[in-house]
Amino acid sequence: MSELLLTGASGHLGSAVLKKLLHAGRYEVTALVHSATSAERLRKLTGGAARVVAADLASELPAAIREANFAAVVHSGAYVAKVADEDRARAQLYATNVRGTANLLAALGARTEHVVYISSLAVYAQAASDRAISESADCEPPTFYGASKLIGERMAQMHCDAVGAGLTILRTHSVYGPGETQARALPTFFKHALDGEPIYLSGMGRAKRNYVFVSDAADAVLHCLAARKLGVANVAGEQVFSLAELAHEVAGACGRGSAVCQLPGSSRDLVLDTTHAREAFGIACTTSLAQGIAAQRDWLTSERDFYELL
Amino acid sequence: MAAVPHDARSTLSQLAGELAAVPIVLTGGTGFVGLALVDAVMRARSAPLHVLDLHPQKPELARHLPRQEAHFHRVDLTDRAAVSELARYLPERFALVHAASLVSTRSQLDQGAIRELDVSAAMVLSLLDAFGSRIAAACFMSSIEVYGKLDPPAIDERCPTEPTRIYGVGKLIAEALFESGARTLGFPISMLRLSHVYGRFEHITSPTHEMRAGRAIPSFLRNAMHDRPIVLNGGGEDLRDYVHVDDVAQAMLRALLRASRGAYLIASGHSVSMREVAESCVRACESQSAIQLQPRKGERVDYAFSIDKARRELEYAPLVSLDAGLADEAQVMKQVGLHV
Repeated sequence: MSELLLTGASGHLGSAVLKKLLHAGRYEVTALVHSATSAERLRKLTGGAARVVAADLASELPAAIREANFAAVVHSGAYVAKVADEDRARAQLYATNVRGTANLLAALGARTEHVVYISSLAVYAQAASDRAISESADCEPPTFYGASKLIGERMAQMHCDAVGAGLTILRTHSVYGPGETQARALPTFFKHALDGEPIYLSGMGRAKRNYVFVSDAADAVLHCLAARKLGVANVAGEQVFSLAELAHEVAGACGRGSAVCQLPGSSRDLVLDTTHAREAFGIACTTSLAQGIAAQRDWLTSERDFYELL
Repeated sequence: MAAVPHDARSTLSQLAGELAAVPIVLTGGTGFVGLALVDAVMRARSAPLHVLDLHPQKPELARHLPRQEAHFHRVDLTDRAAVSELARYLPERFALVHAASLVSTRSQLDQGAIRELDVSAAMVLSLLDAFGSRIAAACFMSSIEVYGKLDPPAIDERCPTEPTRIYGVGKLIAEALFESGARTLGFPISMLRLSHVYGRFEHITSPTHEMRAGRAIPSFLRNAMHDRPIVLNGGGEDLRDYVHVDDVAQAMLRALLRASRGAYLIASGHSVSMREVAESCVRACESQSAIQLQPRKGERVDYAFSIDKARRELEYAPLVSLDAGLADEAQVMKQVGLHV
């Protein structure tokens, strides 16, 4: 079995990828997490099925990483900051997303044959447009988070070109589903809906999205590893919905009679074009919004730990 | 310095006059680009100019520089506490010019490269942290290295940034950090992506012997002064766009005057072969040097840049021809000493 390194293994997407990697059983997995607490939790949950290493990507990586022979690496570890916190978060975004990526690539050297870099919708210019954003769209990130992910992409490309490794860049839309703990729109909708409170939407909730269900995104990662799909692909849901449709879906799934209040204001669509991912990569994120929301509700309302099934 | 055309000099003086009342803080003032920026700004000044640099002014250079009334502060810009401490000696509001840079030719992502990226990021983080809302407008000396692979016939600002060397990655990081700071703190910032800059003092200001020896034009001029052959790889066909350091200073002054925002390519807009550059060096030194052509070692790399955006939005117009700029540089090298 070849060795694989997964960074950000305790994150939302990372933990879903870890679960599927262990299930697939094709790799000897090393899971990198940022804190000793996360490592301890993950060790218990995986029951020794993965080697778990706690390390800060931005600092010198331990020998367990530097001296291993990883045939493949899935780099999912990143620091995410809200736009409003950008002023305070700049140094940390640089440290984890830029320095951390450089540090990881430097540690891998020429031994790794395939790097899968988890990137983001945030790298695109996101100019107001009716069209879905394709992989060839301009990359002019409007935030430093987006810039840090884009610079990570560029460094991964430089490194892979230099050592002759294959590179897959997966630009994900917002990942939702069981395990989502970030304070983003959807968890906020759920919080209100589970409390029976109204969900407020600006811009009349008209803005369109195609968030990707976490399990679909994890499948895309495993598919690219197994089929060695190289290049850049958007990873987003096949189903495009408005925020109003999303809010109604959440309110309905929670069954507490929450109203959806559509307030005026500007709205902007953020839809990733999935044509290239589907046709050239064979990636299809087909979980319907109804299925995805039901799964997230079940996870939120149950005591059951996400990793119990491992 | 008589060789630089009078209209280039008078344009700088006029622009500097329009900026005279604006306090300016300039980093990297002892590098050869920084020296030209300081020289341009000091042509007319009523408000103070503060120069921040890690290195002291080279003593052998001091007597060749025009009398400068700038306030010089020796500081490590990566040291956030030191930069914050310095803030109290600076004006309440000022225009910031960030020209300090770590020059490198690395292309491999190793620990040395990571240290270079750290320096590039840490300098901008310190400046934003220490000065923040006191920055009225900013201008960052970036580089064409942010583009990396140069496929289109002429690169412009819309081309994707895909650096192939660490220096370009470092510049890209600094640009992104500055843009982020400009967004959250609300100041306008222009990023000047400089092509191959040449001009007086470039032969002496690089920190290491290797870097000084590695610069093409000083090396050509040195050989020409001694009537030694100038050796060119690949038949000297490769194209470069050399921009004179005074034209860079012109672009900087114009960008600050307009409080411009965004990236601008600053080049001469006219690519020349390395053979033409060598021939011009021979002419500048009235030399008998032969130009020897050697077989190509690596891949041919040509550079060509569109400066339309800078022309249109900054009214930038390069004024120093290659012949005039090289003649000036040769004259300065003779005065200062050849130093490698």
